[in-house]
Amino acid sequence: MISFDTSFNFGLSFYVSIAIIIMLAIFFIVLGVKFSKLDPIKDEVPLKGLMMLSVLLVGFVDNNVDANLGKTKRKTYSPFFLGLVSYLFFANITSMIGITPPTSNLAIALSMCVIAFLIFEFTSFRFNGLKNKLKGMLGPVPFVAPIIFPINLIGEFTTPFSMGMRLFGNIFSGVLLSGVLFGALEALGHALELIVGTVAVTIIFHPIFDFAFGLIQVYVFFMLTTMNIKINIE
Amino acid sequence: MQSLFSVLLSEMEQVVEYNQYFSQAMAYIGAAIAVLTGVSQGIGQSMVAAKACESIARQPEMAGRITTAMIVGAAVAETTGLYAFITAILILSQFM
Repeated sequence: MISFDTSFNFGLSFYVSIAIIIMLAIFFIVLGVKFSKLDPIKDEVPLKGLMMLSVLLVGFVDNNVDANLGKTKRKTYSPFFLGLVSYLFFANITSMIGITPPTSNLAIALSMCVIAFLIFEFTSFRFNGLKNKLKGMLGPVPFVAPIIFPINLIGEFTTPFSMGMRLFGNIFSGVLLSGVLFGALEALGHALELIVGTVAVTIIFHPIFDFAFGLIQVYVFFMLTTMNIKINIE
Repeated sequence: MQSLFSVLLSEMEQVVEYNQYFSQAMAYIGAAIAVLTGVSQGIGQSMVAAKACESIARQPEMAGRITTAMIVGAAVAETTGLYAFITAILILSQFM
């Protein structure tokens, strides 16, 4: 029933995440074509439905990037964060439609932390350069540099790793708990009890474990990435 | 005293025999000990929530920003417990 793969197999999650990425690409291309046809001066029609939601999403990402990194960095980071947030959101809530979420796979969660690691390194090389980066890692006092340098070097890797493990742990714990609850329903003998129990577990626990925790984790991953980029810029 | 200890040890060796069930039981006990980290995580997260409540009571107009900071802080404090959980699952996954 519940499987935990320690051999870093992507398995079915790979195809699910490819499906999510293709769906998001089609979604954004269609919305982009729709938005390009609008004239901001002539058309004063209020936006509705998906267009309204996408405007809210882009505004949310832009505002957070502006508040944390400054308006000059918006052009560099906003598209990346929009992709990250929308992918993670749809990946975390796939269990609402009965598919195991891809982020509950260790390999997918650790790929997210590889992406975070790459964006941190890109940031520090782009805005600080290799020389300043090494100087910052050696620390202010030259006497203790041999001790500080390995610690900073390990810190470069552990921050994104801990972010990936946090994402994985939260989503996987939700999958595990709902799996345990559904497994416990097998003990119910009566058919009516079984139906009522299944409906109760589905209505109460799926929105909490999948939707609420998934949404919080998306926000936390987004905020921690922006915070660490802010640290790397300075 | 030495003889008593050796007698006790030999008695235990007769009772506890090393086989697959023994190692499975030890793995389950290890997973249970790993999950005990949840105590520290609970204390940390409740401290985050308590401080957030205090600061909202002091400055109600800042409630929105304090709530977002609280969520991020609580998620960071949750990491310890999640590591314990992952460790326990890694131990148990050998017998699943």
